[in-house]
Amino acid sequence: MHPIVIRVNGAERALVVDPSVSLLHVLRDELRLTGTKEGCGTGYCGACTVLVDGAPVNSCLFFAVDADRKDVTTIEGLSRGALHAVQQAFVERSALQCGFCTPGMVLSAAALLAERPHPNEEDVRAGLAGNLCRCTGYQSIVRAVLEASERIAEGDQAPLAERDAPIRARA
Amino acid sequence: MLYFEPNFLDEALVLLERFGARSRVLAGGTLLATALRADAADVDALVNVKRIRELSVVQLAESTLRVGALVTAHDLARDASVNAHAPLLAKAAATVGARQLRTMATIGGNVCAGHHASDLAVSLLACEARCTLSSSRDGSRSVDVGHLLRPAGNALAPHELLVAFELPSSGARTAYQKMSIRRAFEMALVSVAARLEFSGALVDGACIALGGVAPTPIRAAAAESVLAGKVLGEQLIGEAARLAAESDARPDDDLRASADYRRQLVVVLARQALADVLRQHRQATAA
Repeated sequence: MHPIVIRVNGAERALVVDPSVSLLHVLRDELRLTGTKEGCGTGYCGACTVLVDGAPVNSCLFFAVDADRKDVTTIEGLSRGALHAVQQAFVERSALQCGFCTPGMVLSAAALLAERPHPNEEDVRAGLAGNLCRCTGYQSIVRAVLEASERIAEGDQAPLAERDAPIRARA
Repeated sequence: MLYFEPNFLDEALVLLERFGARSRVLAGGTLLATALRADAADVDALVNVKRIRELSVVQLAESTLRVGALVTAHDLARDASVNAHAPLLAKAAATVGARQLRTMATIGGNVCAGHHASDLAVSLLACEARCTLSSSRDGSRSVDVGHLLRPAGNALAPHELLVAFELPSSGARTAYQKMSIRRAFEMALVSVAARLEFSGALVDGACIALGGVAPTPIRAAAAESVLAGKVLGEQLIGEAARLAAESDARPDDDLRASADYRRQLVVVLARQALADVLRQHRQATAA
């Protein structure tokens, strides 16, 4: 067993973990942060995506011992007061059906927009390639992420206008 | 299972010497995680090497680019000196897995895993990279990356650690092409990496590597030799692509694709890669 200190959603958590255990296990079963989902457990589906020092990782493959002294953001910590622009856009554009992939999808999208604030549709699809959704067909998700990027650019946190904006490619 | 986090290379090597085949090195962990979960019975020690700073360094010295074994695929794709001095490696790294996996997956782990279509191993072969292997009993040795590659594994001794890759920096024109079932996040069925040096209009040296068409990534010697000393053009590109498929590739049927299909992919991808190289060369000489 090995002692670690992880800063999870801004709060330091001291734990003693089995060195081979995954960050996903620690988040869900030790810290009871069950917003992070286990899908395939092998790094393909992206349902378990969390941010470690701001970068998206598959928490099912990420060793908990490697999160020692790092910042971990889960879906529970993404909104600070108000919903994150990506979350708001997902709500308003109905970018989910069953919702199982949504926490990972939202975190991947938030990380993408942090790295690339003005993505085009192709960038969004590439940025979300590691997150599988078996319900939506992705159209509404891609549209929501593009709209979130516009709203972040405008500094606008108000509800989206009642319009069915087409997906626009941007330079 | 004992767990170690050495801060220095020497400490890690002592641990590998002590535990040998009953140790596992934790680098990116993307493959080790599922392997340990399936069966950890023969593992006594987990050696996490991520605190050893020199393993994550990219450094240019005397026209050789040294890339630490722990540099991740994401960092390779965006690192300024990798893009400037080994653009082929950066191009291939950008196509590894998906973003989440690129955050974690390391160049050393990707090569050591021994997948026959490893994007990074294929591009390193075409870059004529060498790698530094270290152990506490033998010190360091340097071998061609091709000598490290084994089907579903690697040629490292249990007490050895892969420390870094060394790539010659050059003005070569490079291209990387791959075909997968999905466009994103899928191992290549076949991949082709091309790196050509020109002397005026003539091809001064060609390195072509193929993934997915043999038990390990391979060099395409027949295609390379037909290009050497000639003027690159459509007809020569077609001839080299045909040789790569017919003489160099030795694919097998497997669950993902038939040998015939893989051969056809070699023709198409090699042609695309060489056409890309030619386009770059023409642009550079026209400018």
